[in-house]
Amino acid sequence: MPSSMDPTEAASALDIAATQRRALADETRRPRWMWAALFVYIVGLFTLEDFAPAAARWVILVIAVILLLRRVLPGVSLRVAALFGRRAQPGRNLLPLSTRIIMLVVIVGVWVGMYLLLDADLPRRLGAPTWMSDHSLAVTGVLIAIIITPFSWAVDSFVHGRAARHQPVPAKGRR
Amino acid sequence: VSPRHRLPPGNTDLDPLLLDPTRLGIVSLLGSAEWCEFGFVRDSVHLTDPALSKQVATLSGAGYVEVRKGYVGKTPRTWLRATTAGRTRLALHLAALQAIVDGAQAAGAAHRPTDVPE
Repeated sequence: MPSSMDPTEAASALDIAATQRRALADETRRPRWMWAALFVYIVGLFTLEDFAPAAARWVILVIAVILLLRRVLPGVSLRVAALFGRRAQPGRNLLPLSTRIIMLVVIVGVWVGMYLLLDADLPRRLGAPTWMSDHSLAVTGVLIAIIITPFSWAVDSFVHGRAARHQPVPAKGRR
Repeated sequence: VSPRHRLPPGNTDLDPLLLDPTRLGIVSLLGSAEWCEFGFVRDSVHLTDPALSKQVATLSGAGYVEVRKGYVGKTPRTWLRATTAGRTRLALHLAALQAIVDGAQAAGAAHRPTDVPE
């Protein structure tokens, strides 16, 4: 067992570990195109509700189920994860269980909120101009997309950035 | 002050196997993951398939890494994960490295002059 090491070598070794943590955090991060797709999806969904109300609710439910399955199923087995194109699954020290539960609750909350907002008719209630009130759901969709997309992106960046910086802690009682 | 100095007691946690930068990179990657595909590890640590296989065999033999083989359709796949022992050794090794860096910084700060004559 070595009893000494150059501090420069130690710093360099810590750099290697940090680089690999960042590589994993980047790999498990959501792709950039997803944020644009989320924006388009929210706006499109509310616009669809303007023209075909019944269809929009089905679209919400179907896409919500697909996205939830896409998130949950890769955890079922390695083969299923490979079919979904996942090359790595973040560990508990990178994304703690509490963070995962909070993210899942926020996602479900957003879906429920969107479902409820379909009936809210926000622009009319806020006294917006007639052209807005005539297409109140489309306007609501744009407002929600403007809020949710950057918020979701910021949360994802924060969680993965923090995870990449976080160094594993030795188990208690081992030292 | 010599750059190579005697370490505090905690630094006996330095792991001989993880002193190799390539192995440290592999275990660090796997230590942050639940599991990783062989190809992802290979790309991340910039190794060839045989070179990674050799390192994985060493780590697996020491009980740091678990290897699982299977098929996705007809394509063979290999998945890697760090064992509990591997994760613990990694955490202790990184803590020891951090202690060395912190110790050197503290020593440097202690030798820095605090009163500058006017």
